[in-house]
Amino acid sequence: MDQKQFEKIVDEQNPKTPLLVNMLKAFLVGGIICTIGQLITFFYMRFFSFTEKTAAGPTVATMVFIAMILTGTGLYKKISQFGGAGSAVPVTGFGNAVISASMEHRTEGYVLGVGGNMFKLAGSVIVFGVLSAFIVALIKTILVKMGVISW
Amino acid sequence: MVNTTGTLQFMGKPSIVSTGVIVGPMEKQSPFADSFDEILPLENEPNETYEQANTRYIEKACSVAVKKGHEKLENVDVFIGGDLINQLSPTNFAARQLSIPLLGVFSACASSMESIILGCLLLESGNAKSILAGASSHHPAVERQFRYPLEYGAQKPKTAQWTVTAAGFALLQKQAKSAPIISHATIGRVVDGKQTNPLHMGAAMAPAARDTIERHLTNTNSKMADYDIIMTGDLGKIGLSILKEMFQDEDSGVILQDAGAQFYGEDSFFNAGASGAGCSAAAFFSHIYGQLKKGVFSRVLLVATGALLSPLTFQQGETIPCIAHAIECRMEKRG
Amino acid sequence: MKKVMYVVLLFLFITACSNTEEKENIYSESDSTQLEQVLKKQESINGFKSVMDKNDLLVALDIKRMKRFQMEKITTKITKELEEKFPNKEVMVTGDLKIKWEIEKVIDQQLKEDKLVEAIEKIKSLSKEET
Repeated sequence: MDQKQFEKIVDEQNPKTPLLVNMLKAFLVGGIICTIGQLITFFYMRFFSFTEKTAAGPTVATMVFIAMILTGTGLYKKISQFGGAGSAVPVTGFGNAVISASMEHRTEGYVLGVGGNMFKLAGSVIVFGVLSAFIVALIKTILVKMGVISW
Repeated sequence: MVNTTGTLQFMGKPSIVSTGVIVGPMEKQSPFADSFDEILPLENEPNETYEQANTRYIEKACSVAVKKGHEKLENVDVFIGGDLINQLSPTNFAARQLSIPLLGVFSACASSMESIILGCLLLESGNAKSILAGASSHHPAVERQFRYPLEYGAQKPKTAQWTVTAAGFALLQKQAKSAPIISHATIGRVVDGKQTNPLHMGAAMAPAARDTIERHLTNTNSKMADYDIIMTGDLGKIGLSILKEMFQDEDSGVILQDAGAQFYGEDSFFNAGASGAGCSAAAFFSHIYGQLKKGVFSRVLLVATGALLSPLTFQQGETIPCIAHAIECRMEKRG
Repeated sequence: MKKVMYVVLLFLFITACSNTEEKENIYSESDSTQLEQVLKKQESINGFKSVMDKNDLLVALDIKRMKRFQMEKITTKITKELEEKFPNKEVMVTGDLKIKWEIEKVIDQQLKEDKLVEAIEKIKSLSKEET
């Protein structure tokens, strides 16, 4: 049996991914997470003296805290199996990545285990996030200096 | 022809005297559950690491196997074992406690059959009288090493498989009474189907299984219909259908089955089924062994399949080469 | 099939939008007509709330949903126009919801004189916060 024949058999036997339903599920889960975030923002603005601008910080912190509770109790992975990208993209997904990695490596001690491994999954997010922010800022600075756009 | 291109014939009648199969809590729902020796309630005790738990499962399975064979651990000549963890730590640490001369083997999920083949060779040559052989795997320990942290929310596709938490070991001796005999074996060849998706092992392992089964049938002058069952280790539901398609000129029908596809029944939580070195070990040494002893099966071919990738080779963009080791078991009818 | 239907139904219920018109409310002083003139002809806002004093003019805008991306541009434009009309006052225009709530509180309480000056100072310092 040659490679081509084999590939054909594999393609035929592979289950088709239900793209539309997956997208709807991701949209729902992602939307619900973001709505909860907005409600938390309103909560901070209503009961404390945060403005829209300053409420962003405590909102993110609260969302990560919620992700921590859900990850620790094993619920987050169940939400993810349903929601896919809808739960991985918001900041709760980032929290889940860091928290699950830290939980996993407790057995190797706090410094080398938890400290050394907690950014195993989220590390590239941070690296490439900072890198792209730098590049975008550089491009904007150049354009402003050339007078094409203003701050 | 036997004793060529990897197919071995054992004239000395090495037999499986007894087996010990210890599984974890998730395996409770398996259709094979009644044949397991013990289902432990926890995957790991509170003060234990996953790797230490894996070690404990191996020690327990070995003790059970030896006890059921009316033997003592001190009398076993060689311990041959394999698992999926780096540097075979669980097997090594278990052997420390068992204090039996150790041969550690690695062929991923095909380790169980590799252990048995080596055990049969030692018995055949007269270099040992009593062998303990088998393999084990532990779900959280394997996930940690090969994939993502357990609590990480990565969405698993339908082709993904669940690594079983199980240890299966067999006590081998020559010419034991009323015990299934290992008449032939075929050593696997590394076959690369150019698959790159570690979440679809079934497709990667199917070509290796096909190569081994074909070689075995050709060398022993047999057809699939001569066997009561040909069971692969962990191709999973989709891998099995790929293998069946590859054998479309032969009438594989009901004869060709897969332990991984059946291991957890129809529960879709486990997607394509079970996998792991413990999958083939647990299924073969509990269910199939039981059927052989009862006389339901008289001639079977057990093909354990393994994917020889590492987390590093995957990240480096390599394909997944695989291997499949097979043993042929017969149960002689007593008058 | 059932699963898909449930998901689609849920999806439809949740993507409801609402658009409310707001009643503007300006507080104190007589120059409110000028203020209304400037603000009423702005297309990008649904409404506004404002507080006026001898020295200060605070305006909180309710900017239309899609125009919120240009919030900076809109607020600077309106600030410029108001500064022309009220040269002797310190003008502060913002799109922030919290500031709007604070201004509503001041309007409801109908503060006068010292209390009003105090309240306006508080609102100004709140809008200057960075963290």
